[in-house]
Amino acid sequence: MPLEFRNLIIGYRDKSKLKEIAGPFDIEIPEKKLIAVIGKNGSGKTTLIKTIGQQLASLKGGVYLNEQSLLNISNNQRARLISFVYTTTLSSENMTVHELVALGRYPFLHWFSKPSKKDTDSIKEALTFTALDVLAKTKIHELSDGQKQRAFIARALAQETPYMVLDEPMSHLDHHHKAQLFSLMKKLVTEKNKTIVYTTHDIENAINHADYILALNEGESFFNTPKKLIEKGVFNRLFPKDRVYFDSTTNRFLYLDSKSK
Amino acid sequence: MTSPTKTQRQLRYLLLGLLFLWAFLLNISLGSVEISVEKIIESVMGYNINEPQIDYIIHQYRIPKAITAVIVGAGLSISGLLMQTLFKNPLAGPYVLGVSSGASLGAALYLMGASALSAFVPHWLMGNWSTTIAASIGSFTVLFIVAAVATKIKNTMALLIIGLMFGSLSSAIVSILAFFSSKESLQKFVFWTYGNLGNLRPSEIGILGLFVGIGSLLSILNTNALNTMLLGDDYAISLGVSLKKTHLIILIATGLIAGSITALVGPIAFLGLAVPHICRLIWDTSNHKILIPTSLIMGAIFMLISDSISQLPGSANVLPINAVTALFGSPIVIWLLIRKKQIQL
Repeated sequence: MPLEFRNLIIGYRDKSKLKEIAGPFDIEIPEKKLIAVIGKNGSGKTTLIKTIGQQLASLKGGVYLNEQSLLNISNNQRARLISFVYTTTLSSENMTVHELVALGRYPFLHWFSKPSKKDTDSIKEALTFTALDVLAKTKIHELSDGQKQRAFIARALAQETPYMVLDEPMSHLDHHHKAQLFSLMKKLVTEKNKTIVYTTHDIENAINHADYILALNEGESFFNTPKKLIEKGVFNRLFPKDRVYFDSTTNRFLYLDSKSK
Repeated sequence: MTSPTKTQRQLRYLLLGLLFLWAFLLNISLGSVEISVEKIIESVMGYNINEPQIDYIIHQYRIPKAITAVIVGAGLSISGLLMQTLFKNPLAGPYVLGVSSGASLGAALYLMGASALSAFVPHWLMGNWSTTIAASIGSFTVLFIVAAVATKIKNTMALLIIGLMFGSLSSAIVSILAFFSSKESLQKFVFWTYGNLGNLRPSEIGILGLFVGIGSLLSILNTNALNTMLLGDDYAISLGVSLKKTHLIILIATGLIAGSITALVGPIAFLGLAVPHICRLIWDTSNHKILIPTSLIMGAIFMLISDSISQLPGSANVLPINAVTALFGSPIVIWLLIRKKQIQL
């Protein structure tokens, strides 16, 4: 069940004008892998995620799942295939972790029906997998940022979709929690067979840990394994005129300070 | 702070049920003639043949008024809850859409502009029902416009502002009408704005019950969708919720409830804003599975008690119900807030 971008151009419609941000992409997302989307602010990372989520219409081409354009898939079907973790704050945090995770079962409920055995099992499994079972009765507003992020991932996990799309899941976290979240994402790929697409500003981390990277830069895009992208010198193109360069021996970005210049 | 346990919640439901029963009986027993609870029960069961006048008061006045209070209180509370969830705003109430302003404008046009209109309006329309009809036309015109706008735009903030603009627009027209109208018709209009639970015919109570019933049923059927809206639009869409459809259902439910209540009983404010907050604070949750039923019952209790208080001066003097709800409700909300120290949607 491959996820594909076919001739996809993303951007905004401002009245009748089209504002292209990135593309055209022609990419087939490899299944059961961890895929990082990198690029500067404004390069189109969030726009891409909104396009996958059908909150924004593509300007050209489309997102295809299993040979079918997402446009032709009902909202409910899509919700059973792709789950999302956003950076937006909730309208209400006055709910328990359990209640939040339980909302992941919405696509499987009819009207005001009660959750089935399958639903309760999925919720329980999502809580256990993210090590949140002890916090199940805690309110969201009482959680730390790291715990909150895990709770959102648990909610997406309860949705039981083959694809998970995460918008900057590590943006507010310290090193410890970043590492913890990263190993959780890896575990989702290896143990739960999920295909995870996530955006990040932490390029070094993506180079060292992601299976594939989609790099967006000034309308250009590069998609490959980190190793191949290093060989092609893509990372040095990301900051061509800035005081940053990519050192391929250490896989690190280094700053050119005035002295060495 | 952990959320209440299952038994704690069940205990609160039980207390709520008992409180409802007490408030209902209290409401029937109070008034120009005080009637004891035993007599009420006897009369309802059909035993009280000795005092036909008491029987008459209970069946013709008190019970219909108590039922109206239940429908109005439950309806206003549920529509307030819907508006707070839709607009993600704790200050929203059943009237933010402008339906009550529309009703007020309709009533004002009839009560204060009637002399001008009477030449054009057919005679049968000028009977007993006319204020109600005028107010209904007003509220449903606004509802129709708001629903039409909602199908065009996704942004709920724009809807909120449009509702507010309708409110300002109609109050401006009402002020102009008031300025030019006679003392008597102005007084009639002011009395209408006070709200009145006691004037309804059985057929009107039936209509009110039907509209509030449909609105409440729509809310109950959309419990799960309402819960996803607590996560914000992005998450609701990602869970497969069709926002436009759900927004429209919420608007129609609220419009039917708030529109029919304002038209038949008057613009009773406050309750719809306050009761959902009281329920959130007592049950310590935002889950609509709990908030919808508790708001319905709590709203009914609130209205029954408010109406009982408005009877207190005795005999001919009855306080305006619109004033009583706020007078007795505001301190409760403030007290709960100070105790809990924070509020969330």
